[in-house]
Amino acid sequence: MSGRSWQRLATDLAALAFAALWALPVAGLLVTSLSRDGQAVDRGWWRAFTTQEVHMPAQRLRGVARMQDGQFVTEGDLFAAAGGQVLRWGTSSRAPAVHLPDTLADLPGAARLTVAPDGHWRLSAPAPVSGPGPRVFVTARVPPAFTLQNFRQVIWQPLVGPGIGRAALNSAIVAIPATVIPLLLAALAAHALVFMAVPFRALLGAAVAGLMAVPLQVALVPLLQLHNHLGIGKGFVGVWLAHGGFGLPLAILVLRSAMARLPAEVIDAARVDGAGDWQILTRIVLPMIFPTVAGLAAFQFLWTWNDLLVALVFLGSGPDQQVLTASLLNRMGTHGGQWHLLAAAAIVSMVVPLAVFALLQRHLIRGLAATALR
Amino acid sequence: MSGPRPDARVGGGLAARWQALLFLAPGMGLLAVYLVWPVLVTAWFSVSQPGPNGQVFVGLRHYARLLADPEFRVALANTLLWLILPPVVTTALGLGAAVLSLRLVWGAAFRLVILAPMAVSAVGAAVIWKLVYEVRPAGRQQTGILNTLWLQFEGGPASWALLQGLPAAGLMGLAVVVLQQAGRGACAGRLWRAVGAAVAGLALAVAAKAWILVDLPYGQPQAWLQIPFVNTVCLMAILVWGHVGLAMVILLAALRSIPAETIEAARLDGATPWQVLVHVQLPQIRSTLLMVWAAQALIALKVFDIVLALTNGQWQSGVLAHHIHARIFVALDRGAGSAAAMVLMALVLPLLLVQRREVRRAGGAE
Repeated sequence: MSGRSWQRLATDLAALAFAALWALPVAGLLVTSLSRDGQAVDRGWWRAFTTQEVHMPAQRLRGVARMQDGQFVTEGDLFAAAGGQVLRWGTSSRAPAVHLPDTLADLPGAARLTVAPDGHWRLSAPAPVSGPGPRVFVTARVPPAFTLQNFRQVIWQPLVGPGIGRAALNSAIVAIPATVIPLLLAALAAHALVFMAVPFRALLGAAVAGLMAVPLQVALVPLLQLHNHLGIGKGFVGVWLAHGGFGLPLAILVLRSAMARLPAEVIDAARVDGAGDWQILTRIVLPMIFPTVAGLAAFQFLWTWNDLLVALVFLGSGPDQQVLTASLLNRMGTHGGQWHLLAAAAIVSMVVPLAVFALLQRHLIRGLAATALR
Repeated sequence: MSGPRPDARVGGGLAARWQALLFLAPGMGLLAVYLVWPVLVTAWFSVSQPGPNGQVFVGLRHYARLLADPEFRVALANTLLWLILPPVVTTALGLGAAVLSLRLVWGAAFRLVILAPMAVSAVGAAVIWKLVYEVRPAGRQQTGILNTLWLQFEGGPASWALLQGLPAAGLMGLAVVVLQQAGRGACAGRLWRAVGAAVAGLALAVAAKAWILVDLPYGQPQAWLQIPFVNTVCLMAILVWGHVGLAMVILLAALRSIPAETIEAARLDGATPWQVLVHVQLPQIRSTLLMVWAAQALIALKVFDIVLALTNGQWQSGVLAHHIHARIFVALDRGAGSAAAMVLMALVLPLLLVQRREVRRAGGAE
């Protein structure tokens, strides 16, 4: 190989490593969210693709006993549909791996238990088993198993609390008006600043730019008081207005500079034809700067959908108002080791922004330089 | 950013003025109520407290209380660290990604992978990375990637060379380069730049020495998010992961806008790709680099969700934005919370000025 192609190869490898480093954490989340019974949680997600030797959590043996040769016999399967191979087993946490498969173990009450390699167990006793049933500890080789069950569970059938479906709806209720309102107001204001007779135009523009310096944190207390005073309290209206206000300076600046680059003749011609400013804005100006508007809208949507602070402060914490990010935050605190469910919830929260991103990425990238100012 | 049009194109007359007002009023009204007025109120709250007959002026008492609070001091120190490290690393990696992607056949796909985290919420990113930082008790199979990698290093000479010797050597090399720049700056009579570079170079050298001497707990799984300073670095990594794409895209646009003839000329003169990058391309996009850095610093300054979700400011990982939220809504201390918010705004302002100036200089970037 020549020096040039070595360079090529090195560039490709460096880029591949870079991309892998960026994608790996997400891959981990995805694998975890798809693994059955939280397999990935016990092994580490990168081991979820191969058969692994695992110590399964203790299982209580339950079942309906039937009479056979004067004995009460109960049978069942240790593995669900996933399958597996029993290596060792035991009935006490102090000796969880004393027995080989297919050997008989004596239990209290003259009961005898055996576990087959395929996970089939058989308990026979001279009298019906009373109490919760014996516990079994199993060391097994478990093949990889993937499922969509985790998603079904977090969206529709949560064990505690509301499903994440409602939170997704709340996020949409927040994000859509919170995108439309500032864009509409910014379009009007930018149009006035560029094409209409406004006194102190330059000063107004500078003031709007200066307002970008106001961090959200500065406005929290006064705005909460204002909302209480106005009777809005905590709710969607307050969030729309807050997102609207905070998205406005950037939207005005970006739209103004896009409008200022339009060819003047078009606007002049429309004016001569007797078009009003509203018509000029909606029929001529906005269609001509559509890429900028689309990029800005996508950005504002991502920002409001992914926001946590505004939602925490201006929305109630009940299920009727909790958005995806807040719900996810809650789950992080209470997931209790159920990583597969937390991962599924996190994936659900990313679907909409990633779709918006994929659909509008061309506009987004073009508008990025402008919107990086956030 | 280009300014508004000259007045010739604008309709005149009284009716037109009223109409202009109608267009402007809703937006300006919302700005006044949701941005201007709250700043004034918060500024007043930060120097007053509730008395029997409304707010009473108390001077700088809230600020003094803040400064005396160790938690605030930790948050402020961490915020300054956030202001420096993630923006520098993000800008550098963004530049690297932009340069790489220009030389790849699959550049578009590469950019998409680097850019995608931008669509992920900070809370979502926190979940993703919590899985990476996960820790299990020693002896059990680790399920976090970081601890699994960490346990590969058993503490022998190879571990030391890879994890301590190599990075320290890199830092030291960087320190030498930066110190050379300081020397050059001093010769050229640019005093401030020389001093800045000298300080940065010495800091790098000190960090390199400390890193060689530090005694790492090899062989033990670590609760990364509970070790002071280490947890801050772990949180910073999440921010960097999320924002390199943004830096990459902006720098890529700037790199592409450099005339091809300039680069071709340098190449014909026998410059290597590295020399072209350092001596031709980088000086041309200097403004954009500064702008990206300032934008990243503004983002880093307002970091809140990541900290709240992963450590909630415990184990000395607090930052200013998180501290303000905790002050106001957990400690219910409005006065000091407002004072802390004013401190945050004071930090934002100069950065924003730098950024606006560079946006104007970079021209056409907006």
